[in-house]
Amino acid sequence: MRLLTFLFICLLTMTAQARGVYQQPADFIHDAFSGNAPAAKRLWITGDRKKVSREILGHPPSSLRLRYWGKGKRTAWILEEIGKEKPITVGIIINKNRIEKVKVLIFLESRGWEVRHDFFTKQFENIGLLVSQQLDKPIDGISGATLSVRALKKLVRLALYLHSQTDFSHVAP
Amino acid sequence: MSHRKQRHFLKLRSLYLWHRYIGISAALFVVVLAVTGVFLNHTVTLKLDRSFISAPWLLNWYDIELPQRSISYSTEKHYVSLVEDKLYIDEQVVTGHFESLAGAIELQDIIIIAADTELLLFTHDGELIEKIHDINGSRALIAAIGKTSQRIAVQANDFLLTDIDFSSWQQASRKKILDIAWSYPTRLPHQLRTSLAENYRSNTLTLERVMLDLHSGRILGKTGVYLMDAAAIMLILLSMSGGFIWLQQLRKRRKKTKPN
Repeated sequence: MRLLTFLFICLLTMTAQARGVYQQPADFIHDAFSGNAPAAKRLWITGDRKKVSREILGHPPSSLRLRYWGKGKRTAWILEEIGKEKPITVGIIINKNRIEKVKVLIFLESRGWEVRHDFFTKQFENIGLLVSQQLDKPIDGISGATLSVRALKKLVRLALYLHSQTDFSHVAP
Repeated sequence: MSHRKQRHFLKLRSLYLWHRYIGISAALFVVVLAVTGVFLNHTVTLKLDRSFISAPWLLNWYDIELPQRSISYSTEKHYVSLVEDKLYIDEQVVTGHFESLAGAIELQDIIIIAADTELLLFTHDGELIEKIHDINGSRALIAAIGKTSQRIAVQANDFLLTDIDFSSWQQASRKKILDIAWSYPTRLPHQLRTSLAENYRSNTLTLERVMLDLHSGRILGKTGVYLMDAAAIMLILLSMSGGFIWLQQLRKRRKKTKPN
């Protein structure tokens, strides 16, 4: 019985620790450009962009304008998507139209926090977007974190699509 | 019929009767459990978590009362209100849950709302343009918002000024602070106040909550939970008595078909 109580308390502590702010978005952007972040740019999500974003997310995009940071062939995005009830904030860096890094910055859901671990986010590295707006490599899910996994996949697809809409996707080599 | 056979027949008949009574008693609960179970399995697809109950009797049953906490600010053309944890622009609800509302202003045809640690930018149609998370590079609870000559003033950890692009933040000088027209709480017109209170009430209880409570019996309080426990026990007894009757009949049939 004592062992069970101990295990239960451990589990509760783990869950409590799992939720929260892992990195401030401003720090992620700072790190993404090695402390020399360019000024933020804005991309309007209207017209065709709104239509494609809606197809990717499965619902209308939550805002009409998104901020991003770009330099050379790289862009960095801070995007949000609701897993089940609360938003998951993710930082995404794209380099030469492929994913360089994905990091879960803020996670407030009570379940599915496993998506923050590197073993999951590393799967996105070097992944690109097909013409059909699907990822060009499969991503292994995590049982018990289906909605969070789905949210992250959507955000990565959205970031890759939005990157293709910026000037940074066409920079000459 | 021999005495032994008669006793066996009566025992089986009594088991049949018990099986029947338990079955009839459990039927209603099984239907409730099955129907709510199917619904709950498809919560996301059926959007049960986003469908709200507006039936007054059910809201009363759950003791969902009119909101106690509300604060409102007015801009040139709109009223922005926080009713409990729901944010409204006029009568339109803004997606999300909010803890605090520090004010709202209008600048260059954009409504700027300071809620929690964010600045929310909206069109006049209530469409979200953008969320500004970082105030001068960090997340801080916003205490006040105002404007001064086409610039936005925010009081977070400090008094800060920015423009509509939110590209850079400057600390406001003491002289500038005096020029800021801060957003102050206001009283809503009676009709809007009533409408928001009603809207809040009918946007609180989700269909998913009701389904979950029906499934567990909690909709009837502790009694409901015990009733569902009784239903579960009845189902166990039903499966046991059913299995026993089936075994008895199987044995009987085998006996009959056995050559003498």
